[in-house]
Amino acid sequence: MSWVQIARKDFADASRSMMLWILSALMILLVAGISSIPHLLHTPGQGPAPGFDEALSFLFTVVVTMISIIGLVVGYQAIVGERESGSIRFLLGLPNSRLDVIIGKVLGRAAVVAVPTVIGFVVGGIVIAILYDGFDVVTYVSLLAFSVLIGLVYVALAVGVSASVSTRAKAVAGVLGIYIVTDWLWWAVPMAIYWLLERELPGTTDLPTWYLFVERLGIWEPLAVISGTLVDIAGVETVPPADRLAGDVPFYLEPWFAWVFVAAWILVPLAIGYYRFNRTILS
Amino acid sequence: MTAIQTSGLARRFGDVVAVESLDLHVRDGEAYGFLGPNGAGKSTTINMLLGFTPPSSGSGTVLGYDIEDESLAIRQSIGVLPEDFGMYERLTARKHVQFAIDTKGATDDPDDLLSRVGLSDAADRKAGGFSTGMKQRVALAMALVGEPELLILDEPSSGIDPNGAREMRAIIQEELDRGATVFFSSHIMEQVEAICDRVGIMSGGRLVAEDSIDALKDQFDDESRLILTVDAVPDGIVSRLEPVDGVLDVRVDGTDIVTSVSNSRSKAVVINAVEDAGGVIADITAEDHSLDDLFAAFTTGDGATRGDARASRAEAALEEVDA
Repeated sequence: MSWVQIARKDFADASRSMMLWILSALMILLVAGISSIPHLLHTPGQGPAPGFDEALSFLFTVVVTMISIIGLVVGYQAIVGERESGSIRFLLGLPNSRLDVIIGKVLGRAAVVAVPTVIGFVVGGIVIAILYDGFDVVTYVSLLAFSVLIGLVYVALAVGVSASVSTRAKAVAGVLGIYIVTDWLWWAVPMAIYWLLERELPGTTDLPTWYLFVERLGIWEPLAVISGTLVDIAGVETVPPADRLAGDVPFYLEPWFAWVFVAAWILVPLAIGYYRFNRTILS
Repeated sequence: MTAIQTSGLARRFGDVVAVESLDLHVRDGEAYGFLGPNGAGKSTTINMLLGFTPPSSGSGTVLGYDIEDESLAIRQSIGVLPEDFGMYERLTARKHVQFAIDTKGATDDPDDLLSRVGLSDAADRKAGGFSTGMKQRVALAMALVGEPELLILDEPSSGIDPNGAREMRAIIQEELDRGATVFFSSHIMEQVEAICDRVGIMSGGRLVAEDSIDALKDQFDDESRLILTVDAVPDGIVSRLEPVDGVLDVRVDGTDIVTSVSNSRSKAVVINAVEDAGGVIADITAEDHSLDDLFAAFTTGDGATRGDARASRAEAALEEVDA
């Protein structure tokens, strides 16, 4: 149970380092700033004034991308940083198991992302409520909850890598590599497999089931599906599998099953990290 | 009860044998000095005791707990001052100690512990700006949390000034008086002499001696060193002195003839022999072996035989003469 102490210490460390406050300022700026752009671009008298929905769809992509990057930056040093500085000798000289260390680190760092996110959304929410008509609390809180989830997923990925490697440089390379491949470039993976099999590029409909399955293995795809069910704003929803598949939609492509993929994205990197960290020789 | 016991404990890193078949025996309540030069295997041994490094073979217990299967129970019951540790630079000294208290579920007052190690004034300062000695004090305060039955202190006085080392010895003595066992490693013999009941000397991954300091000294008591400074070293003096009864070792360094003799009577024989060979003696220095010589005797060369050790000891003596 000592992971509670590790999480607390880690959070205290982050708040001492100003990181927490810099991130909070960044999140306020982000939420308030990005969501006010539609209002600023609108010329009064020309067309209808943008509402709450426009503000949020404008905000959505930027804020989730930023939080995913923040999650990776906050997480990648979590364990390897202590290995390099030598403070891990305190951590493991005290009665902490290596599993305690990983759990404590994930929760501590996830809180370092979550707290500024909440602060940013609260302050940004006031700005949005002033600038736009039709403020919907449920939608707004759902977007906040989704943002916190994103933070947790990317922190877990980064901590998993951090537990697996011996130097900060390797952690940066690992986190960046995984991020670029499984997040930004993942759409190309099913496409490439399709091309290898069929010698032609896939269309947008009549796709084989495996195509959507491979697509969903990426880190962002299942999160996008979940965001579509959580946040009811234009521009967030994804094309339903039924419209893209040749046959029936299997259970694992239904929206609820996206949670399983997301849970796997949290647990698998941590499990690999734990496996490797547990076998690490500290000498 | 036995505080620390290992049997056949070994650790290899690839082809390198860091610790070879170690049988360590630390009694309850004693102060045990774990000695050896850097690279002798002390840290690897401690890392195995703490669960940082799994043994390649052999086994060990700390306070009766298995070092591999019950590492958490060990670390709950002991206090550790690790080697080469790093601080949480942004946390204060007090937060460091508080973290140890919280983790162990202890009830100590962090300020009491910081005052014991002489850091009351710096309790609210971030550890990032601390000197090595201050960091060492914080780490000691963390090790003292929860009145541990056993303290494992890895090179506790490194980076500490003589005054700090004295304070550290006083704290160790207090812990011993409380009934704790203290196991501490050092590469400097003098540091352990004042405190330790027994010492174990590591060399080349093996425990080459384990005994009380007095008992170890006894082995060398009769031996002493004779240094003759001459105007010119006579030719062939080494081969002339070596057969002399009671002479263990002869070396020439510049105009010094350095001999190790096993009894005082041999000294006169050596002096006569040098004069007979035509050497004009300008100065005579005779001294008993110091603790450092004793230490060097066990740890230089491969430490396996005393014959080897003697040669190295003489070498160490030469270095002193040079200085």
